[in-house]
Amino acid sequence: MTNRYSKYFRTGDLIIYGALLVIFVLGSLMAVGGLEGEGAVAVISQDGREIRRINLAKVEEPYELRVENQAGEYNIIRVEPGRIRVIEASCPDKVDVKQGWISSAHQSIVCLPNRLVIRIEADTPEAEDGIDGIAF
Amino acid sequence: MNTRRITWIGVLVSQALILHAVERLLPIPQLAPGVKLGLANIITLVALNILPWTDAFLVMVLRSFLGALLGGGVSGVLFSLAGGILSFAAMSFLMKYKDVLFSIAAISVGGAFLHNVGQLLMASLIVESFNIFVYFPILAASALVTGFFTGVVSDLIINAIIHARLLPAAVRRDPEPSKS
Repeated sequence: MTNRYSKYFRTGDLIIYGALLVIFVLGSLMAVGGLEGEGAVAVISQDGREIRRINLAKVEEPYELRVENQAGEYNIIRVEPGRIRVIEASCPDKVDVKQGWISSAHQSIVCLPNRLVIRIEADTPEAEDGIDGIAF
Repeated sequence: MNTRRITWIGVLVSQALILHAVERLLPIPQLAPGVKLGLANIITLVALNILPWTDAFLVMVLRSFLGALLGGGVSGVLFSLAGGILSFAAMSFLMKYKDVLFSIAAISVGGAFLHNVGQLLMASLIVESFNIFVYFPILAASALVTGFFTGVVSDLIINAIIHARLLPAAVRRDPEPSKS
């Protein structure tokens, strides 16, 4: 009874599972390393062009902004102190809205149908020559 | 192409589409773009195991194309095909060492991971400057779990098909897949 599944765990199998585990562990460590920098900057870009940069640490009053592309598709972004999210969008899947708040470095919200990306970058100058700088 | 092969391709494609539709009904939270159960991958694995690779490729292309059209729309076809072709390439490579080095579960895990990677690569092509490596850890973890599950299910189905002697002689498992 115990070896009903043992045929799925032979040497080659363990190599594949192990490789993915290593990707998971190393990738998570890098992502956690990216969280440590204070002062995250949200970079909003559309069609690959940067359209706005918001230093989330310096936001005092929450506000909303509307980003629209040439086709008339829109996303409404809410900015609060230290965090940012999409609250409304014209795209059909609403993945960006469901994702909720992001607040730490290297997190991102992507709305593929509207080609909108919100990415958070670490603002600390030390991060440039530290591990975080080369991790990604 | 004889009737039996056409029938197999048709049956597998329609089963994949049903699995695709069922999966959309399941209320699973979307952790990251590209993370999903991937039930339709069961069909690709079954096809790879019981059909010549050209027929299996046809099944994969048809199910990606039709599935994306049924579900998302024209832009979904690009993502679906990118993931499908990359994972198909990986799985047909790993299949060469099936039962020697790798079990179906491991082949499925590898395919699931590369399916997600393919979709993210396509996403990064469409939305420029989008760092896909950030998503690698979560994709690796989800591929381990979902890929193993679909791999075990595929193994059971393949064994059932072989035991039931449903395979046409022309596509019965040969050491040389080029023989048709």
